[in-house]
Amino acid sequence: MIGSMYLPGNSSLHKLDPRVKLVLLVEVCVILFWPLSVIRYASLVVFVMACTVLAAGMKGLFAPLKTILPLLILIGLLTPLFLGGDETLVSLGVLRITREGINETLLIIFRVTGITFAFYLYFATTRLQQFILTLRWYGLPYTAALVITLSFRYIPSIVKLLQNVRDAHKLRDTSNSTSKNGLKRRIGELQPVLTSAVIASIKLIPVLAMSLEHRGIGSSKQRSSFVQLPHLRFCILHIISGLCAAAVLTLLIWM
Amino acid sequence: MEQNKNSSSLAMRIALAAVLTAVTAVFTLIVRVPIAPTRGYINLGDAAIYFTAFTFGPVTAMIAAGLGTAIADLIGGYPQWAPITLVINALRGLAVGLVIRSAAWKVPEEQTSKLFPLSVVKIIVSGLVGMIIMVSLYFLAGGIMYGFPAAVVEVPGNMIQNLVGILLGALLAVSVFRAYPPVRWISW
Repeated sequence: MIGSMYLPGNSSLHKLDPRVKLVLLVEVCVILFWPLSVIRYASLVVFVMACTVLAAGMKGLFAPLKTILPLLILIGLLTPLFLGGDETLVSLGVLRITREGINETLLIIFRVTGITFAFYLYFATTRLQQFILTLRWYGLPYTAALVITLSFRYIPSIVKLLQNVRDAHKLRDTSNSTSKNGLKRRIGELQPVLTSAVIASIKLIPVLAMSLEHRGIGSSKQRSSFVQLPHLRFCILHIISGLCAAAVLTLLIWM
Repeated sequence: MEQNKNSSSLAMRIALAAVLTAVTAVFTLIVRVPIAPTRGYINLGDAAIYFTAFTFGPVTAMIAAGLGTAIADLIGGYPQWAPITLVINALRGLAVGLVIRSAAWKVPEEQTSKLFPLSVVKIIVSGLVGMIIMVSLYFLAGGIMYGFPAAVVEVPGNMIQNLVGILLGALLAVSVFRAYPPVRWISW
């Protein structure tokens, strides 16, 4: 497997069953599309952010923010200008900033932030292997799970392959940098590298297929299967914790 | 033909989907073309999607495009986009592959190059279909998630990325067909 967003730790969220966590993630996303007041959205986002800090430390607060900051700025600048309303706060010619517009903008900002942090929290506390086993438990077919795990296995090989091909092409200096410029030149330089890397990758396919056939894939004598997550009856504490968290989140809507 | 027989086996299909999913993920994550005016980057995930659809057909393109880009989002730090990316790119891969394999605009056998069995018209039409699907669905998803005023800003960038993807995907398909002819017999 390759590196992922997982941050090793010993927090309660790290220990919580990934199946329960996935249900909670879906619940948070559903709530963030529920018609609620700004205060309730804000309190949910603060709750998710606090969980992120507890599980992943302060790094967990900045890493997801960094990925959405340009989008949040864009939303903050554009959305109020395009949303009408009765109560005008600022008027700049034809452009009006209304209280309703500001409210809606804050809702959107909290929604994007909340969804981003919820996903980050899930993957910072759940290994990719556990995530795939969770999807398997929820009904992902064996072949689909196999495709995902095999592609994770092949990503580092193809990255290495691409680097090797790129280095070899650089040594031969096959680019004709004087004739073209800009994007066209870059694409022209990239094309032979990508072609070689893609052909080398395609050549891996029959070898992988042969090894899968040897493992019995496609025949009645299949010799490999995925590890099963523990039966739910062994995870009573996890389910109770999950139910408690789900109840807190539901209360947030109805209170 | 042996290769034809192999491509219909389950193991071959799994291998095809897995390797091309990995290629799509790597192209999305690693290969980036800088654009001078904006100082931004175009990732080449789209080129991998179009290449897969042009070369290997709709089912492989659907799996590789959907899973490859979703995996890139998962490991690249944008997991919140992974479910949306999975659906949109899977649909795009399927649609482009279906158009490229459709009987419409079929050019007579004697007019197509033996080294490259696709027509330019099909590439352009399928590319446009793919671009419309991707741009409109991302606009819709963005609009629902964070409002249409902010979502509309992404439209030109997505269109440029698609156009570069179509161009490079087609060039890549031509080069691969020429340099490695056995690829013609691998499809799903």
